[in-house]
Amino acid sequence: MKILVVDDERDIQMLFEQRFRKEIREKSVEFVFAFSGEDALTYLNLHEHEAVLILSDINMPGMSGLELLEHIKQKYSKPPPVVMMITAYGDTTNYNTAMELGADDFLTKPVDFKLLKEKLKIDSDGKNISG
Amino acid sequence: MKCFLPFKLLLVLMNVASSFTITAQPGDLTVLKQKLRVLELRKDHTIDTAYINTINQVAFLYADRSPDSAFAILKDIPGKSAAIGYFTGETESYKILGNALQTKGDFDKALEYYERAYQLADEKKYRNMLPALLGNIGLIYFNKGNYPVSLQKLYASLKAAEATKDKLVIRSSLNNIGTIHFYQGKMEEAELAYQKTLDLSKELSDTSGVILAYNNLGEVNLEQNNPAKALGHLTLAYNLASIKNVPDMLVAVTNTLGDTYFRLDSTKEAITYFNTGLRLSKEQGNARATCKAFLGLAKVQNKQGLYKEALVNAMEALRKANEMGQAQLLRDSYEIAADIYENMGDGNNAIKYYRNYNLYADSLVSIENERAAANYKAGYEFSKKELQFARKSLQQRWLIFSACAALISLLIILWLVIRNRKRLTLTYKDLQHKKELIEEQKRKAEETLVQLKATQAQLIQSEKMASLGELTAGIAHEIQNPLNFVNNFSEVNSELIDELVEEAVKGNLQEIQSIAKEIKENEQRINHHGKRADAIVKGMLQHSRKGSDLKEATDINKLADEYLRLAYHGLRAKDKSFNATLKTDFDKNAGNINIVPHDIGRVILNLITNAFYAVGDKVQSAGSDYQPTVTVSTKRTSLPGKSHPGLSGETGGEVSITVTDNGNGVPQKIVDKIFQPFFTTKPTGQGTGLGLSLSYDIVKAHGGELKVVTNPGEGAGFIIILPV
Repeated sequence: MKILVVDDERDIQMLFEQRFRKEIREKSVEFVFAFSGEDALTYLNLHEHEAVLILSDINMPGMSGLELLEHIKQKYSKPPPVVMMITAYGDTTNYNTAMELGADDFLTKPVDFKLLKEKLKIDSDGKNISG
Repeated sequence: MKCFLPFKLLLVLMNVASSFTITAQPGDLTVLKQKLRVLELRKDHTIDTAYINTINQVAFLYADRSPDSAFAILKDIPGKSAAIGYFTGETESYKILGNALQTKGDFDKALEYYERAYQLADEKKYRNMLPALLGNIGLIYFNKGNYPVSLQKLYASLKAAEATKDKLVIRSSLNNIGTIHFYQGKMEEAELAYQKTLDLSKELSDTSGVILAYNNLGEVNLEQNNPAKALGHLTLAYNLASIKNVPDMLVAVTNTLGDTYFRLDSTKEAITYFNTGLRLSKEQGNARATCKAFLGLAKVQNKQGLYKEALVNAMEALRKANEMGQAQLLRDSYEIAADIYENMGDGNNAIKYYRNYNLYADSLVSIENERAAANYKAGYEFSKKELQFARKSLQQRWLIFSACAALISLLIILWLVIRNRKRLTLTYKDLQHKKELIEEQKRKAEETLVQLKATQAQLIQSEKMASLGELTAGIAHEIQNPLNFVNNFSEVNSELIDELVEEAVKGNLQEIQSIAKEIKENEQRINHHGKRADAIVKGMLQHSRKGSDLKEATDINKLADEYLRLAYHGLRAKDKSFNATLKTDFDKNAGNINIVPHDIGRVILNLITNAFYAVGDKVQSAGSDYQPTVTVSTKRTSLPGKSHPGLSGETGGEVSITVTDNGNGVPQKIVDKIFQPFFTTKPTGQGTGLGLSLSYDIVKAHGGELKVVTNPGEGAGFIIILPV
């Protein structure tokens, strides 16, 4: 399973790689990183259908996570990737907007990796079920 | 005036006429007295005609020099002469008594005696005695100032003398006529008469007559303004009088010399002569000479400006003249007195004395033909004097009036000065009071200013704290991120160490090394994010710190970005529903500029916060199509002429930081007010009204500008322009 992580904080890559080092070693999950909304779209254009899950921060300079979500849901409808939004502000407006735009899940910072792993497992299972 | 002596000579002549020898000199008095003593030895000597004649001879000599003695000697003679029928002796006695009285200045009584003598002589047909008596009567009238009668008598005397060939009387009458001419101012006629007198006197070998003639000629010379010639005649007269020892002549000449020196302006000599004249005349009991000497002294002192002394002498002269009733001397005394008073500035007395002067002058110049002219002249002189005095009086009145006016003016001025001074004092007090008030108010104002400054400082601090408050949420968020990393990496490291232990048990050295490497990397990340949080906290503290900081080269793009984030997160922390599109457009060439970072950061923060507020405001009213957008951009521009080729961007030019929003814009009517302190559009309690004002001051303090561009309804742009 290939997961695209979008965040303007570059250290997020190291963090994910360490947190998921077992899963990466077992190759049950593969991570790709983009550090802005624009970078994420570029990657998606080049590697269509590779990423099945997108984890995106909302507050980023330039294109925000919500804009990215909108693009992804409009452009890559078949099959649309699972998009999970992560934000430091767990406010209802962001949550509702994200949901309206077709976000599949909503997480608040600081990221609870245990919870995230479970969600990924379910997701993975779900996909597996569906697939 | 000066010529009373001629009449004395006339008296002398009359004695001569009474058959005594002309050589009767002072020395003869001794001879006569001896003769008298011899005669007194005779029995019934009082009825002896020889005795009577000798008495008369002695008295005659006394009449001129000691009239009282003459009176005493002659006391019983007229009666005794009459008793024995010796009428010649009686007549002679009367005449001598008249002479004595005339010497004393008692003209009226003298006239009585003369007339008695004349009647007796006329009655008894003593023809030889008549001419001299007529002459003496003429002399009295002259002394009384009655020139016409005097002249009439003198001419009668001359005629009678010529008939009897009495040369002595002829000479005396001529002398006296000359004197009247002299008084009338007919100097040529006077001189002619005196010259004849001189010739006759010489012919008669009469020393006194010669002396008198010289004296009189000298006086004429004086009147003719020829003092040198006068001095010649007078010196002759004086020497003769001294040598021949003729005291009555000497005193006369002495006075005349005094006059002469007075005319010559030799006041010292004049005074000496007049003093001598005064002394001699007093010794001789010669009232006229005394009066004349007093007059002379008065004249000289008047000229010397010694008015007080002059007046005393003039008054003495006047007293003497009054005693005698001598018109010429009275006139002269009044004249000099008036003159002195005039000089003393006593106009009233001067006028009074001039009136008297005029009275006598008028009565003296009364010869028929001369009368009108003389009167006219005197009247003219008088009116001239009067006019002069009227003028003086007017001047005095004017002077008094002026003085009074000046005094009144002075008083008015004084009053004004006092009043003004009072006013000034009041004004001064008033001013003093006002000054005190002003100082009090100034003190209060200063106190207020100090309080205001303190308040302002507090407000600025409040504004800082307010913006800090806005920042806090943003900062919290910014700190949250590194903290998350710290926590996460710490947790990961903990897990990794567990794994490390597991691998160590397994003895998998390669894995151990790999894990250890990761632990170390994480450790570095923990450290990095810890420092990041630290820097944020430091910045926050710096922001709230009081006072001004030093300028430092600051990356303007980085600064703008940092504060944009802070602002955004700050607002999001307060209002989670807020969202806006943030756009940045940074000029890569903006570079470093020398600023106080947190001050300019605060300006940027303030502008961005305002922009967020503006777009947030519009969200409330605008439709769902509205996309709130805030843009921060930087731009570097090189000023023409200031840029250096090859050194672009290093020096010169300016950097602008623009914060644009698409809110409702700034209403035109408040554009001018937005930079004013305490102006705010926010609801009470939400804004200090100092944000833009402080921003403006900060930018100004950096030598830059803070401008606003607004398009109501479409948004606003705030531009910070900073010099590089």
